[in-house]
Amino acid sequence: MTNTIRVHDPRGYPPKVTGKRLAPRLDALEGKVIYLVDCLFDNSDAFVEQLRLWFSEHLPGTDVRPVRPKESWVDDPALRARIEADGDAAILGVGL
Amino acid sequence: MALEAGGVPTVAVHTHVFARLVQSVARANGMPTVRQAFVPQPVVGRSPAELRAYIDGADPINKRSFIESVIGGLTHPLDDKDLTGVSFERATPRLLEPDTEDNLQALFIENRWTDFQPIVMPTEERVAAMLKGTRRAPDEVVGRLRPTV
Repeated sequence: MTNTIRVHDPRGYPPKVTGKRLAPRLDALEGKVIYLVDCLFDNSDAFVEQLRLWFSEHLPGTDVRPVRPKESWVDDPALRARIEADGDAAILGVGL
Repeated sequence: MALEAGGVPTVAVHTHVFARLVQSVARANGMPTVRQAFVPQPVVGRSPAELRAYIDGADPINKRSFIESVIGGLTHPLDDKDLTGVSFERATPRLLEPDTEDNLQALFIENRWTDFQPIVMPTEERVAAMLKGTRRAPDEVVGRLRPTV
C-alpha cells in the first residue's frame, strides 16, 4: 500500500470574517468638512491637489482639507482620530 | 475601512488595474460594498493637467463619471448589503487532501506553489519541527504582507 501524507495548504488559511456596516452617508456635501487623504504613492500628492482644486471650483461650500499620514500603508491612529473627530467624510487617494 | 467603522463615510480612489484586488480586500474585510472610485492607470508620471483629465473623465470600472463615483459614494443612501457587510466562517481546510509525496510534489509544481526549487513537503510534523528552531512562538505573527498582485 502506498504511503500518503497530509501537508499544509500553501495558499494559507483565511481568517474568519465578520461583516461590518458602512458609515451613514451624507445628505449633501455643502458645508461639510471633507478630508483628502494623500496615500503617499508616487504622484498621489499631485492627484490630491487636482481633486482639491475641483472641489474649490465646483463645490466651494465644502471645507476640503488635504492631509497626509505618517507612512504609506500603515495606519496613522492620530490622523484617523482627527478625521473622525471633525471630519464629515474622507476621500483617500490614490491607493495602489 | 477603519474610517468607515469609525463613522466617517469614505471613498477610496484606485487605479483601474487594481480593481479586482481592492474589491477582494474589501470583501476579506467584511465590507464588500465599501465605496471605491477608479481612475486610469498610471498616476505616476502624469502631469497636473493629465490628472485633472482623470478627475473630469470616466471611472472605467464603475462606468460613470469619476466625480459621480466620488460624490455618490459619499452621499448615496445605504442599502441592506451596506448595513450588514459580509461574513465568512473559517471553513477552508488548513491541510490539503492526503496523497503520496510524489503526487503532492507534482501538485505544487502544477499550481505554481513553488519557485521550482526542491521543496520539503510541509507536513504538520515537519512544520512543528522547523518552528522549534526559533525562539519565537509557533503562532506569533512575524509580519504581514501588503496587498500585491
